Amino acid sequence: MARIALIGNPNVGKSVIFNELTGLNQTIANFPGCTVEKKEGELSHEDQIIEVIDLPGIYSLSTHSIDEQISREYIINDDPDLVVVVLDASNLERNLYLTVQLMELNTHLLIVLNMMDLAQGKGINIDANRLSKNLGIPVIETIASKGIGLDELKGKICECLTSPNLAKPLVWNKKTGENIEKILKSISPYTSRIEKKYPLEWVATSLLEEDDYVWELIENIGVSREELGPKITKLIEENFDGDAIVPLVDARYEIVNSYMTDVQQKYTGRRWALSDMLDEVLTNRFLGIPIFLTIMWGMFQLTFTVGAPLVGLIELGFDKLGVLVYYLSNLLDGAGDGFNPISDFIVGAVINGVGSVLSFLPFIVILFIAMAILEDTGYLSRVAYLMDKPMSRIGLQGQSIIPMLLGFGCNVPAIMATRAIRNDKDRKTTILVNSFMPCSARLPVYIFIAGAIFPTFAGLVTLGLYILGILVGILFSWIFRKTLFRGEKSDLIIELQPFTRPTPKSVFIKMWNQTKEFLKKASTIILVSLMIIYLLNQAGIMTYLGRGVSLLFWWMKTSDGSPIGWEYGAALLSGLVAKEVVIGTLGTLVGSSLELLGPAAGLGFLVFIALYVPCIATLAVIKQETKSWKWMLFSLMFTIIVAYVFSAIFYFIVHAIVSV
Amino acid sequence: MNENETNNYKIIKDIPASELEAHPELTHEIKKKESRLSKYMRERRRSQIPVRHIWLLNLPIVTNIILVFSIILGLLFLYFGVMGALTIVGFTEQNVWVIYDVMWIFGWEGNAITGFVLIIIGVIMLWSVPHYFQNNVQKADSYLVISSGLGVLFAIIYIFVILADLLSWLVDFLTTNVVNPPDTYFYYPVLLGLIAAPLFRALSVRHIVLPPSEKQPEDYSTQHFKKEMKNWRDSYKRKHLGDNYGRRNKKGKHRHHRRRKRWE
Repeated sequence: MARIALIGNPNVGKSVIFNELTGLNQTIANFPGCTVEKKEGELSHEDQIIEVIDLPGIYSLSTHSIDEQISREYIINDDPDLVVVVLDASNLERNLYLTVQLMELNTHLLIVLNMMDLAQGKGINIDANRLSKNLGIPVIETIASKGIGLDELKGKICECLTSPNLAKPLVWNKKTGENIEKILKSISPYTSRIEKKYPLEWVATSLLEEDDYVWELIENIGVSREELGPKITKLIEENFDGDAIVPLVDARYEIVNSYMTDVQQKYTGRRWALSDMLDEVLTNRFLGIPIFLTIMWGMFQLTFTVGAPLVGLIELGFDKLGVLVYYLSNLLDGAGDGFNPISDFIVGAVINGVGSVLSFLPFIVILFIAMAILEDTGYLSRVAYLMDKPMSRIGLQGQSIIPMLLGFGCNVPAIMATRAIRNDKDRKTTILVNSFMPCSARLPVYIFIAGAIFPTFAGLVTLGLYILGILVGILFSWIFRKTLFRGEKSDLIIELQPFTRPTPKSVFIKMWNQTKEFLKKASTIILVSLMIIYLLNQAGIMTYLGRGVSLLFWWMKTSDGSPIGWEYGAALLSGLVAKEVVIGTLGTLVGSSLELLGPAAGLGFLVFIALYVPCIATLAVIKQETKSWKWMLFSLMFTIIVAYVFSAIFYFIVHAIVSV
Repeated sequence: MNENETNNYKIIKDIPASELEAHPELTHEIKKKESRLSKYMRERRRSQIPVRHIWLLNLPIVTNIILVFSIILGLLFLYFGVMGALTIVGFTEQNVWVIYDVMWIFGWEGNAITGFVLIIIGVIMLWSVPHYFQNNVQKADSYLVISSGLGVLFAIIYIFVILADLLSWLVDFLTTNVVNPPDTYFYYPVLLGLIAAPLFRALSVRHIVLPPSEKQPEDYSTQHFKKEMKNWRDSYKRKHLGDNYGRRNKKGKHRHHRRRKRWE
């Protein structure tokens, strides 16, 4: 089976094209770093089946972060039959840099000029035929988000696979060309060995850039670094004053400029495009953050008010289902005593437990839709840019903002997104504080408890808990950077793509993928957990476990002055599995008497839920990404302690206010 | 319309007559199928607003109208925002101001936090006003397009809130048979958003980037995108500072400065 790889700069629409080619529903978004690992799928076109690989976005082959390494290693080592380079038509010059590097690798290329509509919106006309002629590579124009040009692309892929063509040889400037020749001469004793695996010219330019990865590759095939290294260092010292990277970048851009001849025509004139106008205000240092808070508030308002009647309907449905189960049980039982452990188990564990979790589905779906719209418009990257300045002032890294924002959806992919962070200290800090980011699983818990205890201000309390999570995350990343992970901070390099109108299909795919995950979780881990909790409760074991935890909160008193019940301790314990289980446990054990908790204990309890470890899956991904049990256990203990302290602070403040 | 244009072929005239006799089908060449991309671009262009409207919205008089709108709307958003935010301290319950009772239809209750949102929108709207006066029309439009857009967004959100209220009422009615109608059908964020919607539309249309082929219609001057504006504010200044206001001499200096100096 033929294999093709999709490569390109971050946020140029590779995953959209991948989805369209393969029919898969990989998550896509209008911010860089959405794909952090390679994804595989199959394209079938005219009786041909082609394997398609979607690679994380990279700006160049000289990589620094983990996701970039994945792309580079795949292109170099796996040697796909065709590399489809996706370019952002509205930012062609910068995108062609990577194309030049791929041309150095002598791979079979096909260029996709994506986002042609955005280019037109920015007042840019591109002559694709001229570009194709300049490069010597076929070029296809697409608007992938609208499914335009994809049939042509499929046809062209098949055509390129049957009759592959190589790009024109690169014409370097005199100085670079001469030095490449010199390096080629130096490595001539190893030429035959290198040539078998890698293109010589690419090896020569990479050695000029002192690329350790390429050294490693050629050492593996028997090239001696001890022998060759000093010669190349001397050459760089003599001709490039010790650093050939910048002159090489310039040389590549010279090549790019030669390819751009007669390709692009701009006609923006004096008028700003709408996207530029939005950027002017949304990234304003005074108004940007109030606007962000306004949009967040709107999102929660929509979630609560629109979701509430739908939640009521689902609850009603589960109530009726419970009644039906008892009715059927009585019917089967005949003249029995009315006690049936099986029907009690079904109603108690499954219908009341899982039902109470599932009834929050409308809230979650609305939140997912709102988040998907925000992601697809490109607003999240503006938020990252906006937050970078205040955060960097207190010594925090800008790169970690995107993973922190992704944590609003789920902490697991958010922690995986830290692969895009180059600095290891920054990365570990971001991983550890990501647990504080309010994931969507916490939302139903907030609504469930806040709705019962603070019915008038449920929305405000929920927004407050979200802000608290973010602030605690910022506070601890600052503390970590000053203590555990001291060192230089990295800068934020983020591409602010033009704002785009979200397509219903993309929003639906995103919402459906996340909803599917929620339903899967509800029907597996949550269901099993609630069944176990029900059985443990029936056996009386849950009482002991819950009491053990609630004893730690001896200072937390309900509105009538009594200590909080063991049920709350059991709920916190069960929340370690998945946050939604807290609702199921409270639904099963506490029922409608939740409001008796009172405002002080209620808020203290909510703050603890907001800040302690999100779930087992998050811990597992922390272990996977840090490759260390130490950091996983640290994260578990650290979040519990922080949650405990903040819970106590909030409890005593509210308690004091209520007492006054 | 030419008949050939309606068909999917064109006649080729330079084929030798002998060949044509043998192969009459050669007289016709089937046109290459138009790619979906160019078709999309053409259709998109057609669905767009007429170019004349874009130029019309760029007239200086429209800028002045927008400026007036921004002041009125900004103040309206601020007023309703403050009134809504004040309900958080219980003014409606304490019957402090009769205005809340008189204007009950706006649904003050439940809009306390939205009040703060409206204040933010109002502030952004008024933020644009000084930029208009300083002739930074692009910047001013930017603030106004965001604020009016946010206004429209909140109107949409509140339309959903009204629908949800109606649904809640229906659910209550179906389950408990109790008729408990919604508090209000007219939330003021919806009304404000409806007023802001045309402004948002006009501003977004005004900034569509046109390709060079779309020529500027005669008498559709867009002088306000130049530094030296010619509108009522400049007319006012010119009247008081002399006819040479805004004009520059060969050295690039403003003429009116020199003239004023001469008077002194």
